[in-house]
Amino acid sequence: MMQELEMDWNFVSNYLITRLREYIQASGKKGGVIGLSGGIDSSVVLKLLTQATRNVHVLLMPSESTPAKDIQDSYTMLRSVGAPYSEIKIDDLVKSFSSKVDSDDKVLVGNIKARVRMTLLYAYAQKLDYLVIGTGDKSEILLGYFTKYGDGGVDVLPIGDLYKTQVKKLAQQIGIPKNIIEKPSSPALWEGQTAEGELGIDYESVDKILYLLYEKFMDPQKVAQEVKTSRENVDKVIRLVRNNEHKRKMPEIFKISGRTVGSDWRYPRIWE
Amino acid sequence: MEVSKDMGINVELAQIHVKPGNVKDNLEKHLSIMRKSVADCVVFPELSLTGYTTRDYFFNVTPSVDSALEKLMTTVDDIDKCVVLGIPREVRKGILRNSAVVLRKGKKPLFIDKLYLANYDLFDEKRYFQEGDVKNLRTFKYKGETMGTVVCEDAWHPEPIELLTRKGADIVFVISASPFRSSMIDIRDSWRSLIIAHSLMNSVWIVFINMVGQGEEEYFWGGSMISSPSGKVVMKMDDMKEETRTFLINAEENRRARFSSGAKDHRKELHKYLYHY
Repeated sequence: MMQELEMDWNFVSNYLITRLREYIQASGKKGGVIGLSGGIDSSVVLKLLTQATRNVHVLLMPSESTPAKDIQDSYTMLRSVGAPYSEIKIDDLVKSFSSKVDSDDKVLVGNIKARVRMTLLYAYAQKLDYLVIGTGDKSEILLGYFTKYGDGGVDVLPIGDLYKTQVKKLAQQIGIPKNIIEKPSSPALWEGQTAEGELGIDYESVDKILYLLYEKFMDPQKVAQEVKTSRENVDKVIRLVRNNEHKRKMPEIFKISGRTVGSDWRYPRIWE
Repeated sequence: MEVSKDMGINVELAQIHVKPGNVKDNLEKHLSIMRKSVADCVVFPELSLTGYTTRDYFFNVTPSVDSALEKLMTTVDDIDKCVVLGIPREVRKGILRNSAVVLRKGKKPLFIDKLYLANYDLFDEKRYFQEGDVKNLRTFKYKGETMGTVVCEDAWHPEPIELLTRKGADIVFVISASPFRSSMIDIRDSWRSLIIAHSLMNSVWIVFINMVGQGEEEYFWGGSMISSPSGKVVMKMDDMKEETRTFLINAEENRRARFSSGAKDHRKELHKYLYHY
């Protein structure tokens, strides 16, 4: 990882635990519900969350495309943090939705899976008076590598300002099992899907490209040289970031009045 | 506790979490800390009455600042302390400044407006505030000591603190709302360097008092500290923790530090030339 992305990981973990605790408290909710996939992001956030509050509920929501290894890893994490959980198989719900659309397109069905999980998380959150704790990281958020209103539909994103390679460092710091840290990252929305396979670039390079382009404002050609990758790879990242901006914003409202929600309506989330 | 003059001046740093827009609760917190304090001076962070990340709600909440200030002044008259806090100040209808206010028994409040408004990265102060007049950057006296205060970003430039010390301040309060960020360099290290540098260059006590806790995406990291006139950090409060701490400041140390420094020298013509750049 680039030296500039190194941080005091002990401070970062304390910071995120404190922030989670205070955010839940300020929102007036009792705790947090989280979907655990057995991957690095949700394992890290689960560990932080259980240190921030005693009120945690975990949902395991496997589908037929969930690798058995991920389910095993989820149980390893659950045992280590000792949080209450529910396991809900989502295939019948997903089939019910996709049959209404009459499509078996794997991306379309994959997005239905992510949105079914979001619906279940919010239903549990409402039942328990908890928040939905998101698990997206900065690399995914910038690339738009998430489902809008699916895994992107959450109340707070504790690790949303850390690149994937930084999340790995944080994971080591807080004692996430090595095999969870090292296995290839995947949304597992269909069999054999891996993040790096879909992107066609490894995360180590993606993170450097993102950092140099958007935090150092470096010219794309120079970025390609610096990262020792092709100009095409840099352009692919630029395209993904630009084309997915809509996923990072609230829906656009066409302006008519002098104070339009979203453009010149700028309140903090919590006031008074 | 009565502190005799030759011992110095006791300063209480109130590193508090401030609820954006909730003047009622924030005022109560100020009053409670002031009433309990055994110090001569109690210092609060920037915009301590309204919060820093209050955004457009500044427009709604600023009218309630005046009555809160009256309540604070009545209390100051009662407890006889010097109190420094941060407010959005409506200098005329619809024009706000980001100000420090100094309250002392029987005296009119002294307002010191922020000169350099932070307006980059996550900061958007020019949407809400007008920059202050340099002529308002005045020192004040309390219990025989000459002191001054600046607001946050003014400590990122050499002149405001330099002017206060040239005007006689031996202690300068830097009231701040600094959010945590670590991009290339950790903001906490930058602040520490700045505070030490001001102390060294001016042989002056710098009392940095930072807000703590969440405000939107931002998190005010606390970590308030005091640097002596010889540039030594003599007190450092915890990061990310709401707390108050009292420290006895001995202005005799300014004398000793100035014997061993070039702070007495000042080339005025540099400022004449700076004017053109």
